[in-house]
Amino acid sequence: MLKLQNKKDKNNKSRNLLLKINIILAVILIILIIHFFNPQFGDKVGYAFHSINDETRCAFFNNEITNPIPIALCCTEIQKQLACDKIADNKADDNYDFKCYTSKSANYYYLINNAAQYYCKKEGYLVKTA
Amino acid sequence: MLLNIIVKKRDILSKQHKQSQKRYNEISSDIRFQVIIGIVLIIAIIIFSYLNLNRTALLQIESPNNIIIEKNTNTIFLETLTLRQKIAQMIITYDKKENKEQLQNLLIGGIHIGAKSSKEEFLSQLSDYQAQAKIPFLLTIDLEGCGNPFESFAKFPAVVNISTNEEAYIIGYQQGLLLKELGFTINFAPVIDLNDTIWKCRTFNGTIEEISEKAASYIKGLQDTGIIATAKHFPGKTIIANDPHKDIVITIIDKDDIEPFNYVKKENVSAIMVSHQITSGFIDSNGKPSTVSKEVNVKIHEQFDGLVISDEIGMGGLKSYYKDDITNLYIDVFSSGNDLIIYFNTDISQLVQLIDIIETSVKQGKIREKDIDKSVYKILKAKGFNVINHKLYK
Repeated sequence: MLKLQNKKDKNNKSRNLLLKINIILAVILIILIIHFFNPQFGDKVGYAFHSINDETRCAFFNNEITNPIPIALCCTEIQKQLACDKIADNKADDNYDFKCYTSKSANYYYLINNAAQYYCKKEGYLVKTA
Repeated sequence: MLLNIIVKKRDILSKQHKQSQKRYNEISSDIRFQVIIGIVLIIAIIIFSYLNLNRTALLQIESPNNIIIEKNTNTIFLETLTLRQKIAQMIITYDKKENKEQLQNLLIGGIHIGAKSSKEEFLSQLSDYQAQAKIPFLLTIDLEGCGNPFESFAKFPAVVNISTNEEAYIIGYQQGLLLKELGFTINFAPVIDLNDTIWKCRTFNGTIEEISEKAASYIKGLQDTGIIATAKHFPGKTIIANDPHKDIVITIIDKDDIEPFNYVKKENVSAIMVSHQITSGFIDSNGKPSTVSKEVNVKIHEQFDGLVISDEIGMGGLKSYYKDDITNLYIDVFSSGNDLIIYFNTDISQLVQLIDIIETSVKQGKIREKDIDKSVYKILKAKGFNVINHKLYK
């Protein structure tokens, strides 16, 4: 009787564990299905999250002058860049999170914040962040 | 009495045991059920992970074996292209090497290339695109102003710093030689707006006459190497400061804004790119973005029979004007007189959707197939073909 009770307790724990695992698997599957039918889903969530407190910001750096670029013109320009590097925290300008360039040594480059990065991805543009 | 109690107790125990056993069996079968569900979920996850990774591979697009090209005379018979293939020829999309096969099979007209890290990478990517293409792609680039996609191996001065017409010609010619060597067909340059208060380096310096002449010299330099130059962004005033949060820009166009465009038309520029701005004044887009305005298109075609190229149609300004009504945006951009439509979305299913919408619109009579044929005729000519179109000349 006691043996059966122990077995029952053990099985109960296993069942609960399996249930939790299955819930996690189901969530993963739902995300994969949504992503399959709507590939920009992740970026939309990212944009929605960042746009709560953050406006999209994009600028062009030209010989020590940083000029804001309308976001409507920004994404196509960002896509044409070689890469976008995260700006190191200690060098971070409060306004921007990524530097996008055609070459690491280029004198001209673009600066965007996280919200702009997600916005451009959501709109279907390639943003080559690491 | 005692026996009775023992028997009762035994019965109770036996009942409890049976209940426990039953419960145990229930839990066991529940576990089996959970295991089966788990296995099914894992299989589904594996399948969808694969499908997500190979999303574009699922779009089976047949190889275009219907096209007739006479190799010895480089003659193409336009009527052998299906309507879908002709629509695809009018699209310039963005470089993504994973899409190569689908782009070739769809017969997409062109691919825009961004910055790469070396000359070798450009050479290999561009030749790879053209290698199996039934109709070669127009390979396009933005080597303009101060944005140099070849920065890692070739330096050019910013356009704003070009001081003479001779210098403009030499830079155009040098850039053309490099573009030709790498395998490009079109440069989306020069910018001939009169003023640039955003980038401050994209357009020529000087009076209207000086800007016009430098632009024409630069264009001549480029086109002398066989590269198609693109004067942009008609009708001007596209790179002046405005509210960075605004999606659609409304400007007043003066006669002066059009002068450089009229000048380079006379000097035989091969292509003109149209902006998305809503304009009034000398050029009135009738409340619509210029790209989709027939009124603006009529003005472009005055003394110009080259390629008319839309600015990138995924831009927020245009989309916000249509309030994300993609179907009408696509129909308008194809029916307003643009020969080439730039669409940087690299999702093949989006390109297929665009082609589907335009094909349906042609069949419904919203867009004339004759106009599509005219544009494709120009595009194939720009690709170096002798084009025969019995349909057009019947």
